[in-house]
Amino acid sequence: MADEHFDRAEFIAYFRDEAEELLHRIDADALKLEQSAAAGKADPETVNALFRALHTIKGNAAMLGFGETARLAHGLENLCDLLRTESVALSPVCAELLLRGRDLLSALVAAEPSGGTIPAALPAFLERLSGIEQKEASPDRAPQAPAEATPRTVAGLRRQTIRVDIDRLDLLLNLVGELVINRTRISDLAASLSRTDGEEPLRKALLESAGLLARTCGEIQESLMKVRMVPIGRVFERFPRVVRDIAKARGKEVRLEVSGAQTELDKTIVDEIGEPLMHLLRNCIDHGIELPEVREREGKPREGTILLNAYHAGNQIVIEMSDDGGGIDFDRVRARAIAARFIAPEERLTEQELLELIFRPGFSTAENVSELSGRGVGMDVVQKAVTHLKGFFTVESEWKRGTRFQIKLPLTLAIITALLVRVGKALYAIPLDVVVESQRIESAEIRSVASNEVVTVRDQIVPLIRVAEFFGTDVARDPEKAMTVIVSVQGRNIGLVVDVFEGEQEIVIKPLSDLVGRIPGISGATILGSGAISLILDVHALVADAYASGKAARAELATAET
Amino acid sequence: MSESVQVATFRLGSEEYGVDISQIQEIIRMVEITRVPRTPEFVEGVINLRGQLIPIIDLRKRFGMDRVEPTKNSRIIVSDIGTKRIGMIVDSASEVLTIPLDSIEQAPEIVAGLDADYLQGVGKMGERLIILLDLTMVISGAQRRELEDAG
Repeated sequence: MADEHFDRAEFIAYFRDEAEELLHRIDADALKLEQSAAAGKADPETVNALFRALHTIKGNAAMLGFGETARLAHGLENLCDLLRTESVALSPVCAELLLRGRDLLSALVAAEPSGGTIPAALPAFLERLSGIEQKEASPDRAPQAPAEATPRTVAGLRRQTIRVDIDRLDLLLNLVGELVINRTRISDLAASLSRTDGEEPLRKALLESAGLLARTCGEIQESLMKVRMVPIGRVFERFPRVVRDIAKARGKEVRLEVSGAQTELDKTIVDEIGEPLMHLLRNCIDHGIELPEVREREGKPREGTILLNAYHAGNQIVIEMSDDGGGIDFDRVRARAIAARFIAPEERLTEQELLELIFRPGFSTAENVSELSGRGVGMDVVQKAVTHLKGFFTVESEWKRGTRFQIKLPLTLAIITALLVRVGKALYAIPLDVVVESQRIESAEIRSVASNEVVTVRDQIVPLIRVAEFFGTDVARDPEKAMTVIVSVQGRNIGLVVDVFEGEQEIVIKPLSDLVGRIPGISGATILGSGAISLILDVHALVADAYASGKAARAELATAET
Repeated sequence: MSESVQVATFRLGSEEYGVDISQIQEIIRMVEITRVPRTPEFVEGVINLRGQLIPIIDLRKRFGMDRVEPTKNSRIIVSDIGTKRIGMIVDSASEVLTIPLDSIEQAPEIVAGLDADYLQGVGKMGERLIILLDLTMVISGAQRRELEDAG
């Protein structure tokens, strides 16, 4: 009995997952139909795809006893059948019906399995659907399921896939992490053996074996990472519909062009980047793209364009969203910033600095608080989400020409290369991708500006943070011999003063237990080959801290003076 | 036969404490603890337990007792609280005792430094008095304080 229940729960979860995926596709296809509705002719491929997706949902829902879901899917399926046989001509009304039907179906898929409320609009909608059927369908034929359109044949054509519980993957990844740690340890041992006068053949054998282990480990790690990779297109899929709906509500004409949807990145990141991107998209339509009349006056096409692009660049994925709208009005940003007391009226800021203001919580330049965005939940939300994913977020804008948002994210969050440093007794890891350079800095080079320490590196004034002081832990051993790591986040450099460099290492990021709480400046911890624990420095936070505390401003002041 | 509980006993200072064995994952010897900066004072740091990072709290500090240097008798009691694993430093771990429920008395109000909510009672075994603790409450109390500190 218990087993049966378990199976049912699993089936329902599967049903929902699959239905959600199919609903995204239905969305995209229904939109395509809407666009071709003006021509009155439906693309048979699209209609067929719609039919198949609805058919699958209907079948699964009926099997699990979700009657309402099955009935609605059936009704929509019939409509597609009529379109396919051209018993009904494709019209804007028809397309609207499909889109509305999809939304209802989406609500039902969420509500019916969990015993939620069935949308009140459902009966009326079903009636409308069957009205079309009775009116338009020729009386001598009943809707029939086409032989070639069963989901099974489609599955045969698709690539073989398997659904795996993400927890199982994480467990596997954790084990590989252990393997990587031990690999490092064996390499270390082999290396130290080669320094002492060990047995020559033994030494060679061990080195060889360590090398082999390293290669295998690397390959396992890589393929396991790939398992977690999913195309970002999963997130992009729902955007065309969103653009259509918002643009319609705002009385704007907007076209979304998507490229690079097949670019892959870690599933956790894909799951979390959807919301911020959606927010940016709303922002582009609400604040970016102008009304058609305004655009015409500006000599632009009535229809605004939003380009959404994703591509890999080294160890990162770059997601770009740009619009050809009005751009950011820096004067207005300034005025708002002064009104919100973010800056003083006499303060002079560069355009870049003004842009950074829109990342501040509670900032919005929208004249009227719109229903969809501009309610004070602004760019700071996006900024926060991106920072949480260890990424970077930048904005460029040109008045009257448009705005470009760029998000850079790491491909994965699990394993990184880090520079290990020692401060007192503690070992810290600094993610290598933010390290610019590391060097010894003589104490004579350190200057004090407004009681903050700075150094000049290649003509640039860099604020220093003494890691030991920052964390209030062990005092650095010998300030004369201190080493400095220059790190850079979004073009801002700071120097981290540490005792000794301990080399680079691949590390597996482990979260610190939440019982320890969130520690400013620490993003996690890792276990090294020796079994020792090293804390990972949260360089984003350290840089933000250094700049927020005004060190940077004073440092720049110092440049101006010299 | 009357009902009973099985408790693992340990010492902190002159007192003997007991914890229901179902709350205990394992008891290990002292290992090197990596200090984590800017944490509440009673959090000693984290340890590496077979590849897992486990936060360690010092029960002495938690109970407002004097800090002592670890000795060779010091132990870490590893416990699962909800989904979280945590280690607690004690002076020494003794044994597993079966205490009949009818020899457990309501805790007297005056047990130094202990909040009543994690005190389950006092078990009497002959001359020995064993203070019975509910570890889940020890931690939620700790978290509460941490939150207060943050606010």
